[in-house]
Amino acid sequence: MKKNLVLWVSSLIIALIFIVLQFRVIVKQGEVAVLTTLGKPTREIAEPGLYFKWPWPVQRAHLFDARVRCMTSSFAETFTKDGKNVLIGLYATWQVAEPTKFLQRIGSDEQADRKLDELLQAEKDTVISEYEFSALVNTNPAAVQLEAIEAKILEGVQAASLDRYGIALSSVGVPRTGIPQVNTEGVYARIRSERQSLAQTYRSEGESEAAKIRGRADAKRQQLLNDATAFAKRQRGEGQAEAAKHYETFAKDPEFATFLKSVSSIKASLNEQSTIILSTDSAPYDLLKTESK
Amino acid sequence: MAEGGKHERSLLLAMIVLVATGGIDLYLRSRTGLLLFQLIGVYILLAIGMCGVVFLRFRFARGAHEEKREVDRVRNTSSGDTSLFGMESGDPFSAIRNFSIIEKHLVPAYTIVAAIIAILYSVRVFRGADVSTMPNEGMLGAAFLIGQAFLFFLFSRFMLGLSRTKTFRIYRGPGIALGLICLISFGAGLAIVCTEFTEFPFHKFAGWITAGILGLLGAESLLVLMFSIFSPRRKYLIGTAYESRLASFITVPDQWAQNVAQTVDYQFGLNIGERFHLRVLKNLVLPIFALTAVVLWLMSTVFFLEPHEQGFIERTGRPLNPETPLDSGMHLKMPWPIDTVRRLPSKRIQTIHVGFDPDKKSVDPMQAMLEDPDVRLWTDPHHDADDPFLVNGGSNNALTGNQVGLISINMPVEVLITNLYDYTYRYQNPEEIFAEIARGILTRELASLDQIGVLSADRRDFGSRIAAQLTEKVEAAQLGLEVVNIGLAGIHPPSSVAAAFQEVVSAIEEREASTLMAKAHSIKIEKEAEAEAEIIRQAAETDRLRIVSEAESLAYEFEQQLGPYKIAPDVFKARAKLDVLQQGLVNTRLYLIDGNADEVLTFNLEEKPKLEQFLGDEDEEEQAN
Repeated sequence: MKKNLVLWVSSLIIALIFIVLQFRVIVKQGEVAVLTTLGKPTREIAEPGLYFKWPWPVQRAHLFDARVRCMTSSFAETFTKDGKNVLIGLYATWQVAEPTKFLQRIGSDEQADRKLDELLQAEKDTVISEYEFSALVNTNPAAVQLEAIEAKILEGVQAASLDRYGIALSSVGVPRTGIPQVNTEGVYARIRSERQSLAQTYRSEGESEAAKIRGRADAKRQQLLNDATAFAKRQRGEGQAEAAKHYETFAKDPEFATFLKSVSSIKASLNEQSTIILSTDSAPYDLLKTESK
Repeated sequence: MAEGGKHERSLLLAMIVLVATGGIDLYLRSRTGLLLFQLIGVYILLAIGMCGVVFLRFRFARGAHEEKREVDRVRNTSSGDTSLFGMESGDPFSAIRNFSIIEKHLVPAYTIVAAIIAILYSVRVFRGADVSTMPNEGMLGAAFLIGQAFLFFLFSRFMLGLSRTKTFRIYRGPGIALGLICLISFGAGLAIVCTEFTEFPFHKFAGWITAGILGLLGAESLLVLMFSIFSPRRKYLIGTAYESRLASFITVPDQWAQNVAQTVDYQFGLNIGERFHLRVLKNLVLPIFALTAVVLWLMSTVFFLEPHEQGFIERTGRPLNPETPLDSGMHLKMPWPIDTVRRLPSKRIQTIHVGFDPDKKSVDPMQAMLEDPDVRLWTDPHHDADDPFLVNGGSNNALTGNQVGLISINMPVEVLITNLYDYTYRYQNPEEIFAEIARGILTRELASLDQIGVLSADRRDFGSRIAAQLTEKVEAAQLGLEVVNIGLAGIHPPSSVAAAFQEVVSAIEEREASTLMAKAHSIKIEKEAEAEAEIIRQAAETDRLRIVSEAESLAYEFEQQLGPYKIAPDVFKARAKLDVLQQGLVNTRLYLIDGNADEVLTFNLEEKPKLEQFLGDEDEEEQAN
């Protein structure tokens, strides 16, 4: 009996706790709440803390994150003033400023993102159509008007978002710009041609430089050989001149000198492959002939 | 048996309550988006089936019992032929026979069907059902689950109490099932409350545990049914196959101590149950659990912040220390759910990737453009995974009016949290806003920069300008972040044209290679020419010396031989000739012809191959073979 009593009491306490929880709403720092009574918004809570409410289905608390959050719009195509297609992506920072209006007209973060995207896209198209393409990309930094475009878009949608949806937009930025697929392909083709042309230039420069270096090397080689040949000729000439001094000795008996030269020439010319045909009248073989007689 | 009819109606009441709560659970499933409600719905469905089976068993058992009593009464009052009322007659429409059929077929059939449903649903959950969705109106769902738990607690206790008597033994199955639904509902409600208060997904784990128990119960039922075929207690086991022994372990807590004691007694031959006074142990179970819960709850008053963390204590949603965040170390707070802690890794550097994230899987840009549903074009979808930026391309062209280039950038930015309050409460996702601001700055800066310049020489200046602007913008926006470092490592042309850029780099390398090869050739040629020239010079000098030396030696020889020659010129000449012949004819062929012969002589001076040449060829062939 005692044990059952404990069970009953503890069960009742737990049930009581959770019933009590239905009578309160906690609004955290950075949140806002709208209390609806039988579906009708009756109270806005902007300060964090613990608040009383009647349990569902009498009262219901709709909590919204009131902190600044970021939404990024579609990267959508638009026209510039000079008729160029351009892709512009936007981001916007926003927060719930009027919770009741936000609950009634938007209801959820996803829906808020969708509505803001529509609003921003429309304003972006309008603003971009007032600028030429050169305001987006230009060699002159002062001519790039992206900051002015952001300010104009923000100015154009700030009041409308607050008025229509209870959303306060604090900033708009252009984090992405681009050109459509077809044009991108054109740009890619141009970049490729430009790069290929540059590559060919570098290759040609290389070949040209190599040819020059080779030419210079060949010329230098020829020069070196020519110098060496000339030196060789000079050396031989000098040698001949020096040798001529010794030849003066031969003047003592030119005939004998010639004879000696002849003998040495014959000696030098005879080798294994020489064939000599001599008459038996020639010395010393004439001796053989005399004996046979 | 009047009491039996009353308790029979309690089963019907339980079934009605189960149907009603199951319907509400399914409604809450759609309203809160929590799969937990659907899982509990499956438990309820199986419990409805079990109550139905028990209801039929009890009803037919009662019918059979009354019929038997009637037969016995008639048998006792009739003295004649009793075969009409005899059990042996085998009347096919008797309540007893119907009861027998129910006992034989219905219980196993229900057990098998219920087990299969439980196992299949459990497998479905574990194979990818989404149990992690954060709840909408979680507190509403939790309140209902707690209420449901309370309701089934009452039913469970009632039926388990009844099942202690022999007549209502079969109520034990529904009692356990309802007790299990009570516990699961309570646990699920508690998990949802914890998720709501802490934003930690307790409900996800509750979903997995609930699905796991479901599968376990299904497997248990099938195993019991299989083992019962071979058991001597076959009839009893089949009759109670749907009763979960595992579930009874947690739904009938006062039996825990008894079960443990019995197990120890059985295993070790002791008699613990009597020695330790089982009743004391049984009475301690609930207080121990309650004490544990209280201790755990009180432990939530102490928390520790890690070395890289700072934090806020939030009381009913409001930060108590907004200006002075708590530092690393141990801190005290009121117990949960009065106070909660918000921890932030404020001392750890975080990296935000601007442009593209190199850690993400590489995707073909063109394919990504076609697949991205978030891009709207008048003609085709368009998006580049590399997220290229427009840069200045130089002079005008016909296509765009301005020559544009495209460049891909990954700019990892390291940041530190410097203002915890702004970081936590001013912005929902400061990193996302930071990344968008940084991307906006990159877009503006690149719009006037030259593509090649960004890739090469201008990179340093570009990085400095980005860092300065980003710091200024982040401070102005009060994001609570400080830029520590900006990396510009990942700047490259878009992948579609990257090959063309690489080709230029290759061409530069080829140019260098051609030049270096020509230089190498030049060096080789020059060195060879120098060597050749040196050889020529050396040869010339040698020639010169040889000529002089020869002349000198000839002059000397002449001088030496002139004397003898003067003495006997003819003899000298003859001897000289003979010396020539003597020396010269050693290795030469000599033909002697008669000086007086008149005939014409023909000589074949053709060279004949030598024998050694033939032998040499044969040797080579042998070696080749």
